[in-house]
Amino acid sequence: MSLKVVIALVIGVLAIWSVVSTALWALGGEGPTRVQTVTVETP
Amino acid sequence: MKRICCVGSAAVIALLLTATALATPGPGDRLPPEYTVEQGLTQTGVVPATKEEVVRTARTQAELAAIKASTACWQHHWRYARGHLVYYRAVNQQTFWCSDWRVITYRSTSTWPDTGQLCSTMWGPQSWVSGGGVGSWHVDVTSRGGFRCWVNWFDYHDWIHFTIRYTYYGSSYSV
Repeated sequence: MSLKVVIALVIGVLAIWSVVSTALWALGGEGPTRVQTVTVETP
Repeated sequence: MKRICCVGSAAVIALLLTATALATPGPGDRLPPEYTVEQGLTQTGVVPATKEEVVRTARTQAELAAIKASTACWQHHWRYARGHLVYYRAVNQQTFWCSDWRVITYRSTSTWPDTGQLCSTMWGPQSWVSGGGVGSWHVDVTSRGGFRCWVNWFDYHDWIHFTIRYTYYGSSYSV
């Protein structure tokens, strides 16, 4: 594998990872959501 | 070119698999052994789980009288989360409160953060009463926490802020 190919690979992977990581950081989320409800005591 | 694509795809898949393996555990899995109980004064401890526990740990006669006068108690856990996998960050708010079916007689709240491996807590989380309270038909508790995440070789900062209303009849909702 030539040096050019290796450099292209590294740049490609980094570019894709930067898009994926930004999406993981920015997208998604829920809230506020109630995750647990306990009735401790009622007459 | 075909070879580059194959190797590149394999590398991206490997990165994604690593991220998945490092994924944040489910809610409750990363609770610290102790967290802050906020009830006018701040102290370290855990939110009470039963009315008896509140009676046992009451610090003042007024608090003791209030909890004994209560006829119903509830405990709700709320969470506000953002992001996925290693970029997950959340603020948890757990409140134990009681009422005599007319007004709130007791409340204590615990707040703690929850993050993925590439995020950390920058400040907080803090919580405070932002409306109502003991003697009122409701109590509003606001929680807030700041986070930093390592994204693309930069520190990304953001914060989570939410308010939950707890009522004298045992319900809670976001306001």
